[in-house]
Amino acid sequence: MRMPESKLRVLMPVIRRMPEVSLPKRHVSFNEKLFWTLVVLILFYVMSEVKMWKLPEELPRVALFTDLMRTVMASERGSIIELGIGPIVTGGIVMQLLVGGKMINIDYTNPEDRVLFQGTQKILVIVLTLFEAFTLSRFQYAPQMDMTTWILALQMFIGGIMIWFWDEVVSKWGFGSGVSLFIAAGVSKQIMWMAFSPLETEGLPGHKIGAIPDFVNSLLKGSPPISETIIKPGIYPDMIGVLATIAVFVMVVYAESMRIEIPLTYGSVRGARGRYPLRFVYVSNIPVILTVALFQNVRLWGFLLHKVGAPGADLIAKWDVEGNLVGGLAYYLSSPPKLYHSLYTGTFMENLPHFLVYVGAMISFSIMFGWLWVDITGMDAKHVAQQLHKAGMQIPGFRRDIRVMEKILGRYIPPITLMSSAFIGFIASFADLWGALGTGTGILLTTGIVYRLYEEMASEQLSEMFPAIRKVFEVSR
Amino acid sequence: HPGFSMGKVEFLKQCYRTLMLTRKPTNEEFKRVAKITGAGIIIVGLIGFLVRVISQMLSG
Repeated sequence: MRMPESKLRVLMPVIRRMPEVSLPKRHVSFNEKLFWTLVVLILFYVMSEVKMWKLPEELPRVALFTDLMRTVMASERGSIIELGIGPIVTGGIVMQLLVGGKMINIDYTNPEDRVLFQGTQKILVIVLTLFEAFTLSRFQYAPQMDMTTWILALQMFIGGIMIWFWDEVVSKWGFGSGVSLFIAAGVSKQIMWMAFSPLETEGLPGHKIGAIPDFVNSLLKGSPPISETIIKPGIYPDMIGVLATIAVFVMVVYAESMRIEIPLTYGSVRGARGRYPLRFVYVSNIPVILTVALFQNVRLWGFLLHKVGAPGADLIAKWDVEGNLVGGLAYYLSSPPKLYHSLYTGTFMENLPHFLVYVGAMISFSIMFGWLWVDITGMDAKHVAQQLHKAGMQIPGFRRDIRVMEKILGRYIPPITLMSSAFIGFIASFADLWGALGTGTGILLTTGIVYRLYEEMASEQLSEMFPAIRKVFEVSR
Repeated sequence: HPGFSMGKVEFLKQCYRTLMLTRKPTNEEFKRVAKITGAGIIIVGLIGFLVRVISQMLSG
């Protein structure tokens, strides 16, 4: 293994000494994988219930993390895992952009380079966890900079490291990756809790938190008026939210199963006709996560600029005296009040600009990030053609020529990149306007994650029953 | 980017053609995927729901 020339190799001594979850040497059985995945899932849920010690009673109004951001980052407010997968996702994005932008040259085929890449990413995640833990504690929970600030920062840091450790455990010994498991777990719990929680709400007397118990309760006892359980003021879930959740779920499942089949044959094998199914939802969920992360940063910088009293800070984010965001770019980029609330309370025209800017911005940024992501991760026509060419495939009726394949793929890949990015941006934002439980983005991410998890478990079980097939899967993994 | 090199209108027409060419899931296939992902979300969500209910009861 030749030494990597990248200037990052100065980090090698540190990387070598870092503890790591060991890669399984032997084949991990289906039950073992299931065991580790479930253990980490339950640990994640238990940890999200553990409130931080010395957490201030009255949580400050100024929420740096929006609810949408919390959903995407699998974070539970006030708990030890306040940071959720924030640092891991941010670290991953930064590394991907550095490599994509050719700032650091990493040659994936060289194992030494790969060790360097993963080691650097690990160091970056630890630094980001430290930074985010301190920033949140300093600016959100304990601005008075006393012992409490340090105690809270420490707990958030420990929580962040635990999440990162579990992510390694699941990614190496379980199914799928820890990051996607935590997102899906957080959203699924939120959907179930907002739909079925029997507990009373603090804010609204007489109402239950869960939309369905509240609705049934008013049907039976008639105490809270029916109309109030269908369109519930404030942030609590209502029946329209439940319907929106189902509608979004159906649309996402339908789109996820759409395919464009490109006829292909194996050059050498006579008559072996195959179809290369391009997924219509070609762009994964990363663009939506990038978009939400970008909007979140606008809000964070607006807050910091406001704190520092920089001129024109109001343009970025305007906060009223109680700390609510009331204006500026950040306001328009955060999820607006529910559309049907505005219609019901007649404030629709007043909120219209907010609706349009929010949906428009989500769609356009999803498209931009979708395009960027397809290029960076080599999903564009040129690279896919190379991969298929290397696998010996060709388009029937044409000579085995990579340019031909690239041209034909080039006819389909850009359109589905654009359309799927726009679709994802639209679903994510529009669903938020209708109060979909777990947010539109959350449902979008979770549906994709759960289905891929199922596919992986099914193929694992299949290869368990027919060891011969395992060799094929080993080769393709 | 190749998509835009052939002009906006042409590209939009190509988008439309691609959309028409996409194989929509059959009813049976759609139900299968919906059942799987729906069950997955409910099961995982239920575990989280129970952990929260238990923790609410413990903390009174």
